[in-house]
Amino acid sequence: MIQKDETKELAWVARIAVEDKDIPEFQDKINQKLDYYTVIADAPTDGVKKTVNPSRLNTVLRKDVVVPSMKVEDALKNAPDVYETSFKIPKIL
Amino acid sequence: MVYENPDGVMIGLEVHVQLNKANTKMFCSCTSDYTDSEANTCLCAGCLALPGTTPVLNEKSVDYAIRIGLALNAEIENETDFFMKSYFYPDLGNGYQVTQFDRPIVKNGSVVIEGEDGELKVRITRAHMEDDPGKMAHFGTIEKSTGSIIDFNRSGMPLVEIVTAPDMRSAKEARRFLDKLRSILEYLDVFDGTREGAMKADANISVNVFNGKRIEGTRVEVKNISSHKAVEKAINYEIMRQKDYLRKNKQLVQETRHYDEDRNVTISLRVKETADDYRYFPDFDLVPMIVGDRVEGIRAQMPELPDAKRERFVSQYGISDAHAKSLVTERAFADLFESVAAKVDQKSAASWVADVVKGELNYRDLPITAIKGDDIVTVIEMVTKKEISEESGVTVIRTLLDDGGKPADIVKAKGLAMVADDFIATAAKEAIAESPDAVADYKAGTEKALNFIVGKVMQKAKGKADARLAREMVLKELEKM
Amino acid sequence: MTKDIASFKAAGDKAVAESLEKIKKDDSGIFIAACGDAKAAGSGPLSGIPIAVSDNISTKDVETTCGSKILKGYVPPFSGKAVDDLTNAGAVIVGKTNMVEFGILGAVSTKGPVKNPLDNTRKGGPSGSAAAVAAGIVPAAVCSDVGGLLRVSASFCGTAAFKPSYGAVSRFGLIYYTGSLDQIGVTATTVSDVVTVMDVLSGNDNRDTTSLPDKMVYSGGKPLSGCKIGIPEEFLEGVSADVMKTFDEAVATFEKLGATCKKFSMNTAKYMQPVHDIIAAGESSAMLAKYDGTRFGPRAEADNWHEMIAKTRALFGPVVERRIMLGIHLLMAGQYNDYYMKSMQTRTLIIEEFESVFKEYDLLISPTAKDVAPELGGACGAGCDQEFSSYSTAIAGVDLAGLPAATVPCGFVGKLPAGLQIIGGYLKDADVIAAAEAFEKAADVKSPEAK
Ligand SMILES: [Mg+2]
Ligand SMILES: [Zn+2]
Repeated sequence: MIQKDETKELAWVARIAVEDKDIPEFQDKINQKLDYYTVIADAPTDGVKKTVNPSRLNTVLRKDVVVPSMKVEDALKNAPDVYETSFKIPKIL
Repeated sequence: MVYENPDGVMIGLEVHVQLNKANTKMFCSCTSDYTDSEANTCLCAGCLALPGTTPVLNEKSVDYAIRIGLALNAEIENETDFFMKSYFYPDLGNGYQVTQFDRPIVKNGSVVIEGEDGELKVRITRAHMEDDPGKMAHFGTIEKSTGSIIDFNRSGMPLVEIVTAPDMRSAKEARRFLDKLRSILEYLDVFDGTREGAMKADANISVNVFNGKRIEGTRVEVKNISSHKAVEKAINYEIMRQKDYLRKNKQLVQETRHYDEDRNVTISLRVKETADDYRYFPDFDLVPMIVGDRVEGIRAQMPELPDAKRERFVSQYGISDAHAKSLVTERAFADLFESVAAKVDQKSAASWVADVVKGELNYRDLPITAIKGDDIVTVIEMVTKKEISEESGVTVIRTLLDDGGKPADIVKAKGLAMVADDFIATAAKEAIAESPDAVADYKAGTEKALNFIVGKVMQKAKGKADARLAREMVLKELEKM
Repeated sequence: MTKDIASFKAAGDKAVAESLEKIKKDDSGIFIAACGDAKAAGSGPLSGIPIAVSDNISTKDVETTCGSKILKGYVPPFSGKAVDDLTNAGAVIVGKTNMVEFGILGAVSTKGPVKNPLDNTRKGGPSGSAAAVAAGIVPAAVCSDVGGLLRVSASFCGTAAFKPSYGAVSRFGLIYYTGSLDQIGVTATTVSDVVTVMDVLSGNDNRDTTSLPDKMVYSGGKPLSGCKIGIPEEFLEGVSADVMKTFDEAVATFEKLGATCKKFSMNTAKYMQPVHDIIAAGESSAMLAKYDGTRFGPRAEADNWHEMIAKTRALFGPVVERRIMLGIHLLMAGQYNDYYMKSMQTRTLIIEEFESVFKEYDLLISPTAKDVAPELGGACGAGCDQEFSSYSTAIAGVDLAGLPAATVPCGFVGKLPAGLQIIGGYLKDADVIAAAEAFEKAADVKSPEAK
């Protein structure tokens, strides 16, 4: 079960601005899920391999052949802010 | 001699190597050659992490990683896979880096370098594949910027991260490791070290002896070191800083520092109170890789590596170990030497290529392609046949590099051809006639007097005479007297 | 109300225009946007046929939002493989169907809920794809099917739908939130129309690693006579009495067709939903990390980047936000082994049990959803973290093992249809299709109004 401050911390790790007033509800609903998940504790998984993807394929590789790049206008078309041909963002520190 | 390592310095390196000899990026078919391109012009929706893009692994990046593993005397994992490493940063479009975790493709290798006290085996803990993020630039310095811009051309470049054990004991050893690694990678033809950002190192540094006593040092990670020269400086700075803190009884913290090359200082970026939780988990967008069956084919195609080549050069050509060592640092150099050695005396070839050509190229910061092997052969032949002197040979090489042209034309234009034997015979007679005192001294047993007379002959020949021949001729004339 | 491909074909040049007209007038939340134009029709098996795709399938130059505020204004510079396949087959993509935000069951779309064309006081499911078919606007819709996004919608609206074996349809351009559980499928009036569209969509795509090397063949499946059908008892748990009645009738129909149906128990069934939920949460925390207002999408104002992205990411709805936070929590070192690792291992047990079950049975059947379409503005009106568990254990199991599954209507509860799910072994897509077609024909389910 997670505590209130852990819920706040999780919101920051997720980079989601959650308002303080909403934290208890978030905590509560996340905990309900965690509680629900306890069912799997008794699954007999000792020594069982993990499945990451239901595909039965392996070693799917691509030939090293260049495909032309997209146009820079297309690359920048959805950008919220640009500087020359770069994506522009506020300072990071 | 045993290296004492008085400060108990332990250095481990994490070296990021771009597999930039592959044509395309790691998970998409964009070109890997973006060096001279405008920002955000060498990419696809996947490089930009636009929604709905799916990764497909480049087979070259796998084969190159295996090649590197074999060159590092390492084990290649048969079944391997990718993980997502999550963190938010502007240049990391997906919000996670695709990397490897508990099953790196390469593990348990080693590289032998020239350490402070002879050969040092640096253990390679692992080498794993991962993709490169984009590149950020700041308006102003990173600490005081008003904003940043991002170029995703680099995003998705295939990397291999090579992680060493903390086996290096000085900045010099760290640098030698990197030089050796770079040399090996270039031999493997997976990597072009001249491209910007091709190799970057993070160094983990700790000082573990204080006042002659063993202490539990604090491991500090210096990130973002991009040149080999900078590695040495950054590490030396950091060792000094740690020693200074210990002396002043200041608290060292386990942290990540950034090396500022312009100011030659390391700057604290953030304190690691707890280890970062990157939430590594298997990349569900990719399927497992079974690579064991590729290994033997790749092994069969492995080029001869620097150490083996060096041994072969000594035994096959009978050249000195020092020459061999100098010749093998770059594969192209070694090849140049061999092409020259096939046509002329091998020891002469070694000394001309290793001592003269390499030095003159380095001095001019020119690539090896600036000179032709055949021209070197011509110069060596002219010197051997005494058509020109050794000094003139060097002049011809310099002129070739500075102005180009053909050796024969340069010899003619500069009047470097040796003077004829009868000219020297005449000059010897004249020199003896002009130096009665020296002749008398010589006859009286002062050997040195001979040098004076020979010098005079050389003066008359304006340096274009073979010094040994001049000496012989003088002696012959003196005997007649 | 529904119209099949043949009747749209019969409408000729007007088919696309009429379809577009209806989408523009849509006030039932079936569509997020109309797109395309009648002149775009090409030649091929779907020539001149209007088709809808869910709003999480990228459409070049057409806004694609996944029902989320965080993608408002995002116009993909490329189309998904499914879209290219459809247009290459002559179809016109006429609209982007509504869907719960990013396909996360219980989340809320910017467009609100989909109203059920059969009863507009009821939901049409988590996606508008089946409703678009049920309302006769398009003969078929293509929709990703994670957690029943497609199958449950079809069950609620009385259409046929099929989700193929994992890898049969390229996911290139599909904006999935949980890549190992999602697969594109089709809903249409009849199974045969579903197959017509599936045939266009199936095939290898070298841009998707999980894409199967060979094109899936949907014909030539096993006939029902002599077929052994299994009914996992756990797939019936919590099913309403009314829906159970329709299911029992379906069982009788199968037996009439010469199949034998037998109930049995699956040991791993109880793990299917929680494991699906844990894996989906973990994968979503990574897949939804790219929405940071840096390269595309809306951006909130703030003076440093980390604050800026946190404010931007608050555009996700609360159910999605909690899903991401939960996923992050589950993947952190302290919890990883007990939840995520355990789930990946349990997934192996689930797949292995399905494999052994399919040695004994040719097919499995279950109700597609536990109940008929719920009321609008019910318990999940404002978003609901638990909505997935109210559907079906069978849906979770199918997703986890990447199995082919069809849903066909098997009866009505008042005005509202109930769906029957037919599940096949991995790559046994043709068997599922054959059974669904045979059942559809024999059961001849019609709404009370149609009768
Ligand atoms: Mg790394
Ligand atoms: Zn790309």
